[in-house]
Order: sequence, then structure tokens, then C-alpha cells
Amino acid sequence: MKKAPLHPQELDRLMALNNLQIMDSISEREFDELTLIASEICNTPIALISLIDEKRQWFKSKVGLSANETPKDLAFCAHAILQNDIFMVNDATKDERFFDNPLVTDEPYIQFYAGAPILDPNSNLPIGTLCVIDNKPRKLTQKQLEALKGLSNQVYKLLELRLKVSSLTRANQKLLFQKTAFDHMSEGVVLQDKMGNIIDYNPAALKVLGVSAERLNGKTSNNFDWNCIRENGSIFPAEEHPSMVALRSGQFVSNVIMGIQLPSEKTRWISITSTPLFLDNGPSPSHSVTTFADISQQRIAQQALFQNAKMTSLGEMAGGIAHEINTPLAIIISAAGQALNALSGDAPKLEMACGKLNKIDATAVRISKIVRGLRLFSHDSEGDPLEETSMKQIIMDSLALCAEKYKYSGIKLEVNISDNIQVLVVPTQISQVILNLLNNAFDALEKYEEKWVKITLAKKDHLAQLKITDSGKGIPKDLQTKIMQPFFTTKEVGKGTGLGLSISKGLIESFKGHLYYDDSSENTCFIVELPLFEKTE
Amino acid sequence: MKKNLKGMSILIVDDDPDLRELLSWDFSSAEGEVESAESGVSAIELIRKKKFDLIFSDMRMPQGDGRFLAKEVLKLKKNEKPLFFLYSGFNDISSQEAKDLGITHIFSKPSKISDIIDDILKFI
Repeated sequence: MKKAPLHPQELDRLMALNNLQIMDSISEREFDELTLIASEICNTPIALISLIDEKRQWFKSKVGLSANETPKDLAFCAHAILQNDIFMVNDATKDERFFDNPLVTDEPYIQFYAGAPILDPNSNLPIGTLCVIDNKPRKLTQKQLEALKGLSNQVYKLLELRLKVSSLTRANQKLLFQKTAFDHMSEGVVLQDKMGNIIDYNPAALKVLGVSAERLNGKTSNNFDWNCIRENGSIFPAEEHPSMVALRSGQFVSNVIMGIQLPSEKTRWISITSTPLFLDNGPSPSHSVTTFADISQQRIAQQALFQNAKMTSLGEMAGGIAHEINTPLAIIISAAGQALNALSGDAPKLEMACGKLNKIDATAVRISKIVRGLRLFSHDSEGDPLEETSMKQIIMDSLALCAEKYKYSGIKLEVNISDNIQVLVVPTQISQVILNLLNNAFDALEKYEEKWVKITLAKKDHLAQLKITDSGKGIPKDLQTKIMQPFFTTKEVGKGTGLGLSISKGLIESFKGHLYYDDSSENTCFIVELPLFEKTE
Repeated sequence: MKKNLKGMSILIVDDDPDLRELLSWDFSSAEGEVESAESGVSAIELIRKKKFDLIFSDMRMPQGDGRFLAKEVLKLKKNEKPLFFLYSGFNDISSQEAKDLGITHIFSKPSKISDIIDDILKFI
């Protein structure tokens, strides 16, 4: 007996067979019909669809045979898959390769064999045969051979169909999964065509926006019938909508904050991210997919934290402020008493009374500055409009609040501020940043002998540059990146919220400015840069 | 009870020049012999040179505050110790600490000066 040699691409062939996931599968009528036809046409008692793996041939379909599989070493089909055409053995008892094969000498006593290779639809490598077998020597007519070949081709087509069905089923399952995810995700998703027309959206889109389907269908970002606003309350122009920007620029636009105003409803705040799609492979986007989440609750929590952090620093300053106001009040009371004395009696001393009244007047101005700083700092600035403001004014108002604290602690304040530096900001928020930096400097200087803080303000290109430097010896490199993170603090428990710098940075960036630590300075130096407000004539 | 501060040597300590001037004027009007200092540190220099009957000091000052001054006064010999009044707008010192520091009385800031002087006279 001669064993069939291995197929020249045996490994690939085995992999191809494995990929079909057909070995040991249940019987299928379509395959059984083909073996039945083959046995009828060739007039043989046995017809098989035999698939050959590493060790065995397994019968996907069989007529006239009880075994499900036989060892590969004995298989006629192992020879058949080595050639392109039909492999035929007219009388196995007289063939040196098969005469002593147990399948010939014993059940089922094979004498005649004809097998047409079955190719794998993906690789076109032979994975088995459609074969007919008889227990007496025979021949097949040309027509029978052609029919057998045709049938083996039908097996190929069935395998191909089977593959397509399974890949379609997989794709369908994936689609179903994606559709379920699309329908149940909490973020709103909107698909738009290149003109910005809305072509699809998920249920969350309606929920997050708070509108009915009728109000979204057939719309573009240009003609929503609700108001869109920016964080500072100004109108959000339709052409600036993230999806329109993504469609126009082809760029990914992320985390844009927008307020949605519907009649008789509180403003909803959403964070929008829009991705351009190039489905037609053209140079400009064909579609956009935009996702958005409701961040209203986060904003409320954030504002509470924000206000809380502000109140904490206000508390830190309160002692200084009380004293700052008490001293001028004591002056006013004292001077008023003396003025009254000067005016009473027979000879009123007008000139002296006048001097005291002037003192009262000047001192009252001193108090009003502090109150002004306090008001600037403490009021809830949510929704405040941007104002064209003098940086000098903001700095001076802020300093009024902590000058006393600084003086009492022996910290020398050196202020060097240029006039005529105008910025477009919410003044309260800038004041908060300045006081936060001054409070940090104050806390840091506790441990130093030499105590001073320098405040300089100057124009630098198109920026207003405010530098707050203290006599501290700088911040270690490993802390420099951490200090801007929320909740990071080096202060002792109960002293700092760890939010000061991160909130300050956020505030300055909301005015298109920067807040950063200057690591080129010998001392501890923070720099705030804001765009200059320059009137365009 | 005395009617005024006649014959008493008084030291006014306050870092605010306006308030220092006004207080000095009022205590002088009550016929006290008034000197003044702008901080705890400069007050001590004066105390070392001269015996005062009464010190009226601000609490919060950059160079040596009211507490610092009170501690220095506490070190003086018994017969050289002046009455020590603190003028404070804030609860910086507890009544126990005030007692320990030998502070005669703490006046709340701001108060009417005529009231302050009336009260001071009760301690003399």
C-alpha cells in the first residue's frame, strides 16, 4: 500500500479547511442531495463528500456507507486532492497503491473509485472530494465524469454560500449590537450630510436636547428653532456649531460647551464633539457624526465647588478685611468726635473742624475701596458679561483686600503696573485668580525669613502680562505639573481646597489667556497672560 | 475717680499714622502727656528710656504687634509696670490670655474715643 504524499501547500490547505468550520458539522440537506445525485448518475452504491484534515477523512455527506470517517492513510481521496482533475481507480485490487488497503481487502471492498476535488472558496486549495465508489471494477462515461465534476463544483458553490451566510449573520449580529448600543447610549448622536442636514440620530439625541423628533427631523445646524448660547451667555452662531466646523474644516472638534435654551426651561448645557467622515473618499468631508452629553449637573457641581473655593479664600482673608475696615472706622469716629468738639462752645474753630472733616472724607474713600474689592470678589459671576476693563483697576481692587494681611505679616509688596492696559474679561473672575495667587504666595512665604511679593503688569506683544513673583525659592520640578491639577495641594489639611490653581487656569483660559508657572525665574513666579483689548477703529 | 488724665504719661502705639495722630490728640485733650510709637518694636525703645503710666496699643502691627508689646511690658519691674490697654478689632486674644499677659483691658475697635477715655479713668 502506498500512502498519498502531502499536498505541497498542506499547512495552508489545513488552515483553509479549518476556517470553513465545517468538520464534524451536522448533515445538511443541500450536500446530501448532491451525493444522492452523484450516486444516481454514476450508478454506484456509494457516493461521498469527503473532507481531509491532518489525520482523517470525514464525510460531510454520504450515500451507501455507515462509517463517518476513516484514517487519512487509507483514504483514496488523499490521492485525489493532489490533482486538478478527476482521480479514478478502475480496479483497486490490481493497483499497487491500493491492492492491500484494508478498505479494499475488507469492508466496504472498494474496487472502483472516482473522486473530483472540492476547492476551498477562499484559497482555491483542495480540501476534499466528491467521490463515487463501487465494489466491482467499472468505468465512467465522459458524460458521467463531467457530471461528477459539475457536482463537485456545486459543492464549491455551497461552501461559498455557506461562508457568505455566516459572514452576513455575523455582520447582522454586529449591526444589531451596534444599533442597540446606538439606541441605548446616554450620549446623543447625530449624523449629518455634507450640507449639515440631519440624516439620522439616536433617541438620546432627543432626550439630551430636550426636543421632540418633529423638531429635529429635516433640520440642519443652521435652522434649529431653539437658542444656542456660549458659556458667557452670548449667541452661539450657527456656522460655529461643531458639526458645521467639522464639515467645513475636515477637522475633529472636541468638547465644545453649548447652552440650549428652550422656552420656559432652564438652560441645558451640553458638551459636543464632532468628527468629519469621508465616506466618498473625497478631499472634503461627506458627513459628520456628532456626539453630545448633558453636562448640566456637572456644571452645577462645578459651580458649587467654584463658589466654595472662592468662599474659602474669602474666609482666609476675612481677618485682614475686618481689621482693614476697623482702622479707618476708628479714624472716622475719632475725627468726627474732634470735629464736633471744635465746633461746639462759644468760639467754633472752623479751620480745625474742616481739617477733621477732610480726614473723614479721605478715610471713607479708603473703606469704599475695600468694599469695592469685596464686592468684586464675592459676587457670583455666573453669567456675567465680558467687560472692557483696566487690568490696573482689577489688580488695585484685589490688592485692597489683602494689603492688610500682607502688611501685618511683614510681607513687602512691590507693585509696578503700567496704565492703559485694557482686557475683555469678567472682572470678578480675574480678581479671583489674582487673589488666589496672592494667597498662595502668602501661605508659601510663612516659612521664609525674606518676605516680598512683586506684582508687575506690562504689555507683551498683544498680551497683557501679569507676573506675580514671591521671595520663595521656586517649585520643585516634580510638582510643577501637578500644581495645576484639581485637588492637588501642598498646604496642610483644612487650609487649601486644592482647587485654586486649576480653577484659576480654567478661568484665564476661558478668556483665551494662559496661566503658567515660570520655571525660568529664580524665585516662585506665576504668569497670567490675557489678550489685550484693542479697539478696531 | 479722676476726671481726666492730668499728670499721666501715656504711650500711644498704632501703625496707622492718621489714627495715631487722632488718638494722641484725644488723649492730650484729656490732659495726658502723650508720646507715640508706630510699632511694638519702637514702643519698647521708648519704654526702656522712660517710665509710662499707661500704654494704649493697637493689636495688629507689622513690626511687633500688641501681643509682643504686652509680653515685653510683662517683663518690667512691678513698680515700673504701666496700665496696658489693647485696641483690637478682632478676637485675637482670649480673656484668659489677656489676663496672663497682664493686659488691663481690651477695647473693641472701632469705639468712640470719649467712651474709651471714660472707661480708662475707671481703671486709674
